[in-house]
Amino acid sequence: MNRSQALNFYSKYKIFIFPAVVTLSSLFLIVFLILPETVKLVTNQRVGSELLNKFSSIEVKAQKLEEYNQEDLSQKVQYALRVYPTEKDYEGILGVLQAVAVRSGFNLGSFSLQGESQIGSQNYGVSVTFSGLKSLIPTLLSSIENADRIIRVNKIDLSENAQQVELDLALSVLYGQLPGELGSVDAPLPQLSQEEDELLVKLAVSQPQPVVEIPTEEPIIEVPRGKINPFE
Amino acid sequence: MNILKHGISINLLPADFLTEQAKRAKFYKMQTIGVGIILLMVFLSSLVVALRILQSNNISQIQVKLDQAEGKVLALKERQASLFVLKNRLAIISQYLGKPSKQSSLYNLLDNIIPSSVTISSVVIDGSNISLGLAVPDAQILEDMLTGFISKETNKDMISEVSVGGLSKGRGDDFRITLKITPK
Repeated sequence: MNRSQALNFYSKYKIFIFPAVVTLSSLFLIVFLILPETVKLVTNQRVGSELLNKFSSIEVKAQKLEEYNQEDLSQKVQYALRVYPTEKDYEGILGVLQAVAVRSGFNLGSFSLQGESQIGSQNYGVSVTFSGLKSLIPTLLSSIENADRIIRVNKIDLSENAQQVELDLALSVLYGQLPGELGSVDAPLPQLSQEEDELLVKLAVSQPQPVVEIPTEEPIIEVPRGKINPFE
Repeated sequence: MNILKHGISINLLPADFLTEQAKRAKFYKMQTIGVGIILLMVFLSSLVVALRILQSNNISQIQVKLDQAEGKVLALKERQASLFVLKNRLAIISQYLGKPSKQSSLYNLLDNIIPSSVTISSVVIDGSNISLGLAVPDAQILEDMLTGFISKETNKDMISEVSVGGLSKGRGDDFRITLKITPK
């Protein structure tokens, strides 16, 4: 078909060709450009909002983290791990119980390790025997449950003889592994409550309790030694 | 050419020419509308593309800021880990530390109820039972002590059942008694 024939064809049918071309072009633009881009625009608007929210929360988190002092945090972690360690510490618990016995005015007799008790947390069992005065048993039990470890009293077996009591205790000493996940970048930052801050102060300030004085039946009389006047 | 003379309209143009003129006018109208539609489509396309480009730029900027903020948090991950560990430890510590176990509380309760004149030969306290071996000097003290175990005011609602395992009388007024107490 040459040019003149094409022009003749167009002139004859332009009333159909022109609208068809306009319609097809419009449809093409709508289907392949306007609609997809509009959908992407709406989708990306949501994505943009989410990104903005994420940025805001991470920025706030970074600011809060900057306010913390790493040394102070590490020290607090040490206090907490001392009381609730990640592993069984047999040597440590013996020392703790010895200190408890001394503080409470008791003697630590025997010490043996037992299996785990069902108390809901990881623990290992310890059987100990204390001997001392019956009146000091509440002090002993309180010292054990306020010691430098988390210790629960499972069983109390008391037998009394002439002057002292013998106390067999079955204890559970708690320990626990650290959580596997220590927080991803966008995980919310844990906040310490006021009670937890107070507990940390208590752990930091946990001082050795005063040694309980064992009442003696006979008063000690001091007899002076040597001459009253050494110059005579 | 229309000549209007005394109400008579005479069109001297040939019929083909008139038809052709009408067709041309119609086509011209259609062409105008068509061009208008094309221009509108082009305008809309340009608008959408421009908005997309703007949006992509914004999102890129936000992404850059987000990466910087994430970098800051990563640099401080040790502090974050410390906080997680602290929270994890304190949750358990606060649950137990300083809070007496049931067994300790029961011992303290018995210590308050049993009079000092009563000699304790044995006490066994575990999670579900208490066994007591006692030597009581007289019947009145025995009765008062048993009342103390049973009364909700004195037992602080910690005891659900008291049963006498064995009771024997000594040579004088004293009694030897074994008690089984079921705590709540």
